[in-house]
Amino acid sequence: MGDALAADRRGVSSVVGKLYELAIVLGFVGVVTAALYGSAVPDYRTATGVEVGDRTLATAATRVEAAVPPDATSLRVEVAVDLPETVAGERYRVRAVNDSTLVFDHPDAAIGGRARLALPERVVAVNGTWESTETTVVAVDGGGDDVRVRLVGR
Amino acid sequence: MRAQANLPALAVAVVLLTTGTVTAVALGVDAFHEAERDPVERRVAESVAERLVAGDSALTRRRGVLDGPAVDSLNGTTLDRMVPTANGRSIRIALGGEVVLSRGGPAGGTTVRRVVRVARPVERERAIDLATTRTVRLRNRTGRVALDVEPGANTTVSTVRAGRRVLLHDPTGLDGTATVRVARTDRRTLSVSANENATGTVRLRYVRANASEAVLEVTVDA
Repeated sequence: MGDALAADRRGVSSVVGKLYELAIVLGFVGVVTAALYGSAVPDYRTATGVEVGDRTLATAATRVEAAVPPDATSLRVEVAVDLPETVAGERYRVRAVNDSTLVFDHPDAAIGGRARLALPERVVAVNGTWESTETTVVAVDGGGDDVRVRLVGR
Repeated sequence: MRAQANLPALAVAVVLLTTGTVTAVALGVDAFHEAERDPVERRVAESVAERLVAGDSALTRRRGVLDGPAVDSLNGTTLDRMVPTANGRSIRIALGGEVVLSRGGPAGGTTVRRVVRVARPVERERAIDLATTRTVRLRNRTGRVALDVEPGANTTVSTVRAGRRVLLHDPTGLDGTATVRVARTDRRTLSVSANENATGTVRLRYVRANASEAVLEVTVDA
């Protein structure tokens, strides 16, 4: 009888089959999830962030250059610049250094850069900082050979 | 093993899903690479083009009008001084298809084009024969005119006018050379007053800007 009992496990085999299927499906989902979220997605997030960061910096620099009007004895100009609030899901900062360069600061070290501005010689100063969450404005004032450019956030 | 008959089906499903996922990711990579541009190159090319044709550029007479000789003498050092953005980059500047400046031999890169006018000074000489004519029409923006009055016998050249404005006047008679400025607001007719039956000539020498249209191409390869 013992042999007969031991041999008669046909009712179990369907349970084992389902367990195999469950294991295979869970394993597959696990491997795919790990592959996507472990490497592909963060890589693309950074790569996209680098690209968007470059574009944002290029746009910012172009807008600052375009904000300086032709020669005038007295001028006061404010131009709003539309920048994305976040790049790669993080806030960032654009600041002016050395009266000639815009620097893009991002928590992710891979994202960022510097852009040298092409401005007329009568622009003597460029300073200020933009936080990405603010309303960003370029303010140009002065006149003649003493034109000052400021990055203002509100 | 009858109960495990759907395991092969599951295996096939897993293989298909994997293939699908890998294909989707690969398509994503392709799309990503196709969408990749070089915003830095484009920005630099645009700033250089913009600064070169700006009204206060050393190369222009006014916005969009390049000074031919100034463009011919453009070199890397002047460019870097005018547009610090260009510093240390491979750049080529061509005007009307002719390369004006090439540094670093950019291969490919981004090209920005601007339609400009190129003004080249041309020296002109004209003569008024007092026996037949008394007026001459000048071009717009002529500016400085060198006059050489050579009256003939029994001739008194009393006045030279631009439109109605008197440029030179001597009731006893003008003789010799003089330089006058024709203002932009003056009428363009230069007229000479002399007695009747006058002979002799008045020679005019001036520089005329001969402007032609051309395309300024700035290529930057970062």
